[in-house]
Amino acid sequence: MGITTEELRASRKVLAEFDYEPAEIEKGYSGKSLYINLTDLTIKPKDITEQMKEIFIGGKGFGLWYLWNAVKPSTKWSDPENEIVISSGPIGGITQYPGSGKSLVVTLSPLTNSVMDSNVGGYFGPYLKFSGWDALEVQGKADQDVVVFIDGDRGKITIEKMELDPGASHLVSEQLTDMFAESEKDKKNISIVSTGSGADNTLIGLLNFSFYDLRRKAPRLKQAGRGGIGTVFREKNLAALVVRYSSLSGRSNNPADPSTIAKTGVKLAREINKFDDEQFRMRQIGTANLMTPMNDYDLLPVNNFKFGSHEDAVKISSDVLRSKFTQNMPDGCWVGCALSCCKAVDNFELKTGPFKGDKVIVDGPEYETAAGLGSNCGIFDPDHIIEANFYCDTYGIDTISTGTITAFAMECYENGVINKEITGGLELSFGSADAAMELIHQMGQGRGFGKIAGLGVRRMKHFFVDEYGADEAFLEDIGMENKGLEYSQYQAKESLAQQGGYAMTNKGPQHDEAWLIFMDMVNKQLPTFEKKAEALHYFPMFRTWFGLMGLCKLPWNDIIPESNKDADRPELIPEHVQNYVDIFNAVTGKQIDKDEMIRQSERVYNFQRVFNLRLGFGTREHDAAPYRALGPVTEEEYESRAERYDNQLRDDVGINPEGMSTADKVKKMREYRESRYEQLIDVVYKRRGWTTNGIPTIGHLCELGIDFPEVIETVKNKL
Amino acid sequence: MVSVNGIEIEWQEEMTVQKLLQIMNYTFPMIVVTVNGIPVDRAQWPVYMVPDKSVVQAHHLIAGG
Repeated sequence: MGITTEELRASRKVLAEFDYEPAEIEKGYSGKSLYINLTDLTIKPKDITEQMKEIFIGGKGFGLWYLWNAVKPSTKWSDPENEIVISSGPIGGITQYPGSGKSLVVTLSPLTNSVMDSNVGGYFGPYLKFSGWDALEVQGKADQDVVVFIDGDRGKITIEKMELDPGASHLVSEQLTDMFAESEKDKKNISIVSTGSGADNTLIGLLNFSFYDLRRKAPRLKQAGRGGIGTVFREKNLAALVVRYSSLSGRSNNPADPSTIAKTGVKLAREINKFDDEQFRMRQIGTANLMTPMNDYDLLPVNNFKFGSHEDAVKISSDVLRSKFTQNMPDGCWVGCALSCCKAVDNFELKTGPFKGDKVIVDGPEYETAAGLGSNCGIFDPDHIIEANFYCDTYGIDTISTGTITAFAMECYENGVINKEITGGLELSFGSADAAMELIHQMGQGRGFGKIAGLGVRRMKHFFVDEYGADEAFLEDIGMENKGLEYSQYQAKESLAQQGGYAMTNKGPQHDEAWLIFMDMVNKQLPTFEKKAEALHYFPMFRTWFGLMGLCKLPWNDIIPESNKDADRPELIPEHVQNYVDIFNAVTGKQIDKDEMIRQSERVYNFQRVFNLRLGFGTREHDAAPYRALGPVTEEEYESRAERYDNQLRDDVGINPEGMSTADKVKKMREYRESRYEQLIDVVYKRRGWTTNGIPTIGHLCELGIDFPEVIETVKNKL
Repeated sequence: MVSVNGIEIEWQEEMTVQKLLQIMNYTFPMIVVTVNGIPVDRAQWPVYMVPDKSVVQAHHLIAGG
């Protein structure tokens, strides 16, 4: 960590280089992708075909297509042939419409052993495209730590080794920004992708994508958090990816119709200016605005998702977190984003760990981080959350998985599944902030019980059963993972639709496919299985679209236009959907409508499902949910909401709970809820054009136009 | 009785929309309310009386993280 920028520069040794003429961007595409193989140090361009643009669009679509072609059904996440693919999308990089700077990262996950995608802000994806590359594929495995530098200004790519310690992502980002920038002014033109020592030591490694904050004069970090992508990154001995591009302008994406983009962007920016302060306060609090309402509506995960609220949650409320944020002006992770949901705590003095005493910038905490590292572990201390947030980011471990893992370990500890002897002295009771922080350090540094926790909830369950004779059924009930990925931080017990929105996903229980809790549980807009199924078709398809384009989801529904009060389907935010159609057409020169928008997503979504099948997953058994996500596992949970559950038994199940023991009531409730979930799967699969085993039908794939021979062959073998 | 998003609650004298939302603990800032199918503007919530046997829809405009 002590190396200076000059020493780092002096240590650089170029292992391979490639000169190129950056392709002109035409209607949102460069038409080229960059392939790098770290085993043999190959660097070469590939053409983006018209078929790729038509069917896979960009972003996650390109990532899936390249990965499909790179791996075999037998490929494991740690095999050199696994790839990390980064792509923004045709809209990615425009500066006129808020939320247009996202990158999508795709790889085979060490947690799920299947396909993972994660979206992230920061400047890397747009700068990559404007440097001439619609996508970056990294395959192979270097024999030593390397840095890949894409210099979009000079048209030069190098694979280099240098004396860089990749253990702390905030330092890596600072050092590489300092070294690769040619002046102070040039720092804003640099973006770094890096991770930390936690990615070497766990399966939940993340990737930090940087953007340079001109006001703070420091790089800020946004996370591609889910599924262990950072672990794959380090497995390849990648220390960092660096891009430099200095000619950003409002025309960099060279759209077909810039005036429509400008007009649409101005309209949204005005909405944000007018309404944000009275709506979601994204500019003031960011996603942490959800902390208070989630607790009020019994949706905030508490104590490993046992409960949905807590009297101490007021200590980590939206306004408390807001009081910790230190910037006084809007703050975005891409140029021109008026929604500006980024938040930071400046000069935060660390109390623990290798950087104890340092004053650092902490990005966040966002809602998921605050709920996961806070309430879900029974910890209601904002300073703990901020410190844990910092260390997760700089160690390069996912805050969502870390929160759910820690909460699971705490429940195991409280139930005697594990003890102090096993945890190496950590008293992992709910609310034990010191123990939770120490566990983060252990995961980050690959020490003690952290080595077990870093394997993720699924492997922890197996380990506790095999090594300590734990009750397997109980651990399956309380271990909040599906497909091997830890649940994100919403209490789904009272929303059947959201239970499906979590577990019937392609990559695992992340809420970015569908978030239906309020529509279902509060608004009661989805009273029938058919309506729930329709929502579980439309919203995953609609939300997938953001990941094809390089777009952030937040400006869709975290600002509500005036027209929405007269909309037939206000939950769709129709005016904003039309904005997206207009912008896509204005960038690409194509003419899609909102129905074709869904079809675009449906192609990629079904392709991803088939990809899962090809890797041995993607069938009904993999959409099963832990019972903790569906209902009360324990008598304690039942009794905590006894009136609610008793009423449900009486009104919904048709059983009089009077005189029944709590254990019997838990059992009857479980039978009812598990049966409902199975019924939901049936109707959702039917709506999605899948068999009762969750396999897309040949007819559906043909209709979508993704009936490539290998796709059909994969499906035929599973039917 | 008043039905709020399908949940039956006791009707009270002088029950305004605002009072009803307080009883339901509906604290979310973005709610669109209709009483018996008639939209009630937010500014009217403190004074708009909810008649007994009303059907109230309080749609929370939130689609999540």
